[in-house]
Amino acid sequence: MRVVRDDEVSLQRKFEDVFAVQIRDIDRIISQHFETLSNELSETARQVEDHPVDIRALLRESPQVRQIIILDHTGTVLHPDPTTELNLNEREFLHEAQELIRDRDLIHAWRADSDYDQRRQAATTGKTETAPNHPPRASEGWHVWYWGRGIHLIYWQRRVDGNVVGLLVERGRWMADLIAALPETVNQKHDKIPAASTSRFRLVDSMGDSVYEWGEYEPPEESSPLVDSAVSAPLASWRLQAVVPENLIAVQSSGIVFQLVTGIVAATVALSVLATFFWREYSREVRQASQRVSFVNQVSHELKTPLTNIRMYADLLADDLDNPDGHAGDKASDRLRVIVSESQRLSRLISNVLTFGRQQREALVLRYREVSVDELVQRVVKQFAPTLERLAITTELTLDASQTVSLDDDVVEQILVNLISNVEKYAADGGLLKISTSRTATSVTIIVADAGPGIPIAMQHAVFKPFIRVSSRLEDPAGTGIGLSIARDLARLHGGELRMTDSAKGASFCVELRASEEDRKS
Amino acid sequence: MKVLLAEDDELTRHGLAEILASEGYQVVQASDGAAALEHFANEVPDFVCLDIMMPERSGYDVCRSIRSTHPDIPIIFISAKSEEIDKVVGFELGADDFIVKPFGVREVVARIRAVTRRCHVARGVNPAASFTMSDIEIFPAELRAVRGEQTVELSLRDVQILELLHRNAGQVLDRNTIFNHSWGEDYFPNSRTLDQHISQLRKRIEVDPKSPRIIRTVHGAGYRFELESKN
Repeated sequence: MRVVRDDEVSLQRKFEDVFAVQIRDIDRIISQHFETLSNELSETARQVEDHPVDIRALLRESPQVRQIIILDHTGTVLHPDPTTELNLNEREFLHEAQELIRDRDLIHAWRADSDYDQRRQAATTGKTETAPNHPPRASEGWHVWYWGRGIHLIYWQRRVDGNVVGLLVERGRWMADLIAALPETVNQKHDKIPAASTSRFRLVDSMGDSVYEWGEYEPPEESSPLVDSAVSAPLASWRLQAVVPENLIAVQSSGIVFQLVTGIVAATVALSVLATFFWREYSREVRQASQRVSFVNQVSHELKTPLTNIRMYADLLADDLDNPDGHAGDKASDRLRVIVSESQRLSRLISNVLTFGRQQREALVLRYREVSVDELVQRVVKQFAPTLERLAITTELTLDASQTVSLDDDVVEQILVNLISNVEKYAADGGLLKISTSRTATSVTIIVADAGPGIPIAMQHAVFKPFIRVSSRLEDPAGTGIGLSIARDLARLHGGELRMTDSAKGASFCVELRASEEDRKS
Repeated sequence: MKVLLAEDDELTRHGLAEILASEGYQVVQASDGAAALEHFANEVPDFVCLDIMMPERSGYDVCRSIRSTHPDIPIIFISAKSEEIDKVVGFELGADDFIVKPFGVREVVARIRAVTRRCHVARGVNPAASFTMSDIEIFPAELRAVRGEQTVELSLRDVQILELLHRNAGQVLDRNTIFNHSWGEDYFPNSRTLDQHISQLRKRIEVDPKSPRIIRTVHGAGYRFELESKN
């Protein structure tokens, strides 16, 4: 029996190790999130001027920052200066921050290199030969401030004049962004690793309250975590916990009892393999989790927009029919046009998501038909005509592939739709969509170009990867980040290629498709 | 009452603007967050409807910026992001309500009316203030009319028309007067717009819409409300 108990303890440790690795991965996501945020805030802090008018203007332009504070080396508040006329936000902030300022916590924390002033003064009075060229070593960082509803984060930066600029980060915003970077609330079921769907992870604040949880297992109240670990700075007072069902270990353990009969060594080896597999798979899962969250959110948003319009315009149409006036006919046909075009938009998106799903399962099969590529291009452009007209995008077609060729027209249409959708979404400002076609004996080439802002060089290598959008901020145009990835995979499936080509202005994509074997032989 | 509507999807924005205008609001439209802030500064609306995912500045940012100068102005978020966190963040930033896409016209109307009631209260309008037309009592700030046990929901425009007729009891009001008061002078309705609206309103507030006692038609001239005592 002692052997069994020893093995249970050993198993428990292995589980702890596995979950500790996962917790570390999640903590790494949190650290990366704050590293990105601190880079952005560092740039904002550098733009802070001394004059209150400039500071208020900067605040209006910096949605992440709720308030800016400037202290001199003695801890005296230079901004918001209580001796001058302050706005409501500044007065509220000074009131909230009274203790923070009075206790000199801020200035003690920020004076990381306390002899900097002395060295600088010595340099200017000639006591040393060289003045320090750079700001002190620890010239910026996070300060955590507990007030009111809980934790508040101040990003501070020490300037060359010795004063310290502090940016109070908008609490709702950084919490929302952080949670968006973490895995979905309920993970998708994991076929390969049952245990992955039978755990619960928690991000717990300094009061012990759960801020965010994910994982399918719903632990009973008072259940203690298998792994409980502090989060890295600046959220060092928060904890990451992994909770697993008690019987998860017991079940594995009963397996061990059985295997004790057949050989305990084999079981240990099997569990080690499981643990390693679990660790590798889960690391990969965590890495992809934030992309999936973004993808699911984007798809959900993209689906709901045309759906909203279909429902709203159908309601309006029903109202028109109930209360007909002199223009009921005109209005009804306008509304029906919207409903039809939005249904098409919805079905395009659904096609993409389904194609993506089939690609993942490698279940895509090509169906070749005799198709005129020029006719296909014209048909797709016609589909987009109402939207292009509404966005004042002129279409220029240079078509030279009218002869039929054996292609899967659904696949080619989807490639074209995705490329034109991108022009509509991201390059409408350019006001131009150029499509040209050409044909050789063995292949067909379609070029789709626009006169929009183009794609930054740094992003060009990544645009064909799934989930990659040039930017995924709330402020940027909607999109799922799978369009180009699908388009390229479909082109390759068709024995061809989709690539970006050089363009003086805007973006240009070239699709090269091989005709089917039969066609090439003919 | 003026509403700022910020939504980047053109079709959604136009549809919502039509719903708001038909309810009797003057609508200022913005297609991105930066334009929303600019319009807000220039137009000073009575309340704001904001999409979250917008170009230039997100709805969250616009909300925060508006809140910093106008802490009491009602703000409604209209968005496809239904996750709890969005609601939390929305309310934490001071949004008054949240409409989740996809939505129906009825839901939008109900929420807009609820916010309008709160606007009236915030402006110090007594919600219990009322006037009587025949056997129905109109509560303008509440956008409601009450007949016995029955409550009738009214739009802002319904209330404006009823207030005008009540204030001018006994007088015939021609169509232009009613239009200018309830649709605004810049509005050019087709000939049947007002008649349609009155017809719909009668269905809701008259006991017998075919023999109206509250809004009477004066053929060739316009509409009139007669005080009961004069009948």
